[in-house]
Amino acid sequence: MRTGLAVTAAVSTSLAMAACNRGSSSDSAASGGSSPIGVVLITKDSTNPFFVAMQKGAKADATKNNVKLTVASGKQEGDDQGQITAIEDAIARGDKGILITPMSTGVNAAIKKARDAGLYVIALDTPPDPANTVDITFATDNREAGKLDGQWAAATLDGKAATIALLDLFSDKIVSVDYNRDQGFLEGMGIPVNDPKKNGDEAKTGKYSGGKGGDYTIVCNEAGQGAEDGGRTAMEKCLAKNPNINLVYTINEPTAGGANAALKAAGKTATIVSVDGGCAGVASVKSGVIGATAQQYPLKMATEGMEAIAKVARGGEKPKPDAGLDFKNTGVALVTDKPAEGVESITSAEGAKICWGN
Amino acid sequence: MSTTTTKSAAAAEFARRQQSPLQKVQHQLHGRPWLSPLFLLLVAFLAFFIATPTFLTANSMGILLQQTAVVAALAVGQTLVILTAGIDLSVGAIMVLSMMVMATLSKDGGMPGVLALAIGILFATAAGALNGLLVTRINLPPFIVTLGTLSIFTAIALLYSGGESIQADHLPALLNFLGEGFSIGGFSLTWGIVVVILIYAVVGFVLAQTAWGRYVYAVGDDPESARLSGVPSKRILLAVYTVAGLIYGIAAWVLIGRAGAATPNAVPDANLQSITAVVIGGTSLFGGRGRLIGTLIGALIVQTLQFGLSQMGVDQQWRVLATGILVIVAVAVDQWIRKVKA
Amino acid sequence: MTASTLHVAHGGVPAGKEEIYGRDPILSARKLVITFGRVVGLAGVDQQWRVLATGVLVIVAVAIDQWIRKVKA
Repeated sequence: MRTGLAVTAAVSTSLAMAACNRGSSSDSAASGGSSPIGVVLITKDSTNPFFVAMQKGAKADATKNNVKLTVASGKQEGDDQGQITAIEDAIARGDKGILITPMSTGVNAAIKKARDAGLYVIALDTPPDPANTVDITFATDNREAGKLDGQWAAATLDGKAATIALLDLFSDKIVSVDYNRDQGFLEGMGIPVNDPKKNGDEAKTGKYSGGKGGDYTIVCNEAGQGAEDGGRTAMEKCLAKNPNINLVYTINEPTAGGANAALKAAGKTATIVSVDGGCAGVASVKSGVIGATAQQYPLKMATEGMEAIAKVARGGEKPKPDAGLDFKNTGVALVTDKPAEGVESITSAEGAKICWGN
Repeated sequence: MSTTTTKSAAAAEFARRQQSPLQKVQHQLHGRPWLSPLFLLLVAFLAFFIATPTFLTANSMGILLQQTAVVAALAVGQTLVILTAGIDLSVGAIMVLSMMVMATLSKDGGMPGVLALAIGILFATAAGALNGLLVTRINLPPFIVTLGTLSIFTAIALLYSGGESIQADHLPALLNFLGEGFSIGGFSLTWGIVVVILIYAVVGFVLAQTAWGRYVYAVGDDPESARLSGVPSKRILLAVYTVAGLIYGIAAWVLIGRAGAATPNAVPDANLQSITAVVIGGTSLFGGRGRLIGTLIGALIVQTLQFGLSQMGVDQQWRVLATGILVIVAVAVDQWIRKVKA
Repeated sequence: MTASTLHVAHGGVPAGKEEIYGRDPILSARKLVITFGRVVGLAGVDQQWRVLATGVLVIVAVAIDQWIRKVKA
């Protein structure tokens, strides 16, 4: 074992030295002739289509900004350690900036270390808690996304009673995107949420005040893990409880796909709302599977973030948050082919032009 | 009197002793390791039937079967591996790899469905064979091997698919077929369920009624004496892992039908779920003991718990807790059964 | 789960009489895994390749260990 360890250690050390050398020599790269800026993009995982799109967009734009981009992520949602390791690697590598979708407050300490070492840190998609953990956040407002869905749903119901299924993200973790979108949806419907950071604590029946107002029943809060198979299982459980569900909130479009499969199999229809705005999701709006989806712009976040870091690293001015917010809002738009009164939206054709992913 | 006579008299006395009712139950269960999980399942059914009216309906039962199908299929492979005193942590990774291969090859009128399906299942089988080779040729512990291949196959699947998911409408009808449903009475079933039941029937028969099956138990029970009695241990082990891989490939086909898409992040905890099903089903992690039907019951118990609690409207976090408690209870009962005095 | 189990896997369990694993097997194993992870991370390698490399490392390291044990015996 000792010999084996020694051998592998020797190999590792030589590899490390080679890597260090490669990092410090400047690549020929694109414009300017100056050496490229090292930037790392750290997403939560590498399987969620949202983050895959973010990674792809960033990679495509890297050479334009003369950036040497490294892409890293946790293994899955909740893997704080994966992100912490990636941050420490970036410091060691001599990167100038970090773009990160922070997993949780668990990575705050590592972010502070990076900033202390002189790196410029931009949070993407999810503002950290507290917001000033990073230099600035380029985010999408998940709460606003949920609200748009809720307002649209209430207006579309036109006074009818709502029998609601809420398909959330996780059952064994609490993450901000989960409660922001869910609670945002309920707020948009005009349903009182008790604790705005907790899913499932609302009154199960009552009246919603959005649109024309009416009665509502919340049938279930089920977690679908953000994927189709989980979405289907979650929807099936809800339908078994109450087959007359007519409104389904889904955390993201893959979940909506699964929910639709369950509805179809049961021979039922319901209005499905979602968040994400990926091209597959926009296509679902066009085909009628999803009634409305709140579109977010992960590529925009990544590329604007990368440009900002490149600018700062070359001595340019630092970006500032939008007025009245503590982050730079990269925008959200409701995509639907059935516009509702009082709720701004764009059509699926327009959404398809600016969608992300496949 | 000679000591042997005293001993045999004592033995006869022991055999004739009066057993308390509890000990009688313990004896019965010892002979049939799957009775205890079956008992648990029936208790669960009864409890949920009393607790909520939407549980024991034909519709719900059909749904329950559909929800159990994929993990139940994976658990067959896992059972085979665990019976040889091994463990397979790469279960989910092989399934996902196979799924992405099938889907990517046949996407949007690429390869014909039959060919893509065959190649996907072939990949899964080869992956299983790789596990088997590492275990038999290089003598690595199965835990280590499958821990390593878990990472390797996951990475390959992600690299190959580019992290992108492929929806059903880009896939040929054959790949989506197992999601098609039909009704029997009020039960809504899918062809996927039929395939899974077939897998159980075939593998169950092989394990219980063929020499090969008996070799599998022998290898798991005591590899040294198996080898000494002429059982081709290495070949059996290699075959077990390869067959397991094949089954994971079929599970991938079932999953595409169920999810309506091929996604790299499907069933994230497939490994744990399959192991849980096997363990609750009364199969010993030390190998050599257990019946395949127990695994099916184990898988059903876990899903029943999840489904029943959801019908009762129990909060998500409590459900996670309940599943954990279930596993401990099930294994404790199993341990008690094994303590039976012969 | 994976990181911590990797460390135990490399450290191994002292087999019988032969204490061939050195003073602190778990610690040296841990250092090994972390070094490898750092190296791969420093090289700016993409996430998936890192995962792949980790898997290969586990198998290779334990295989080397097995081979050494055979040679010593």
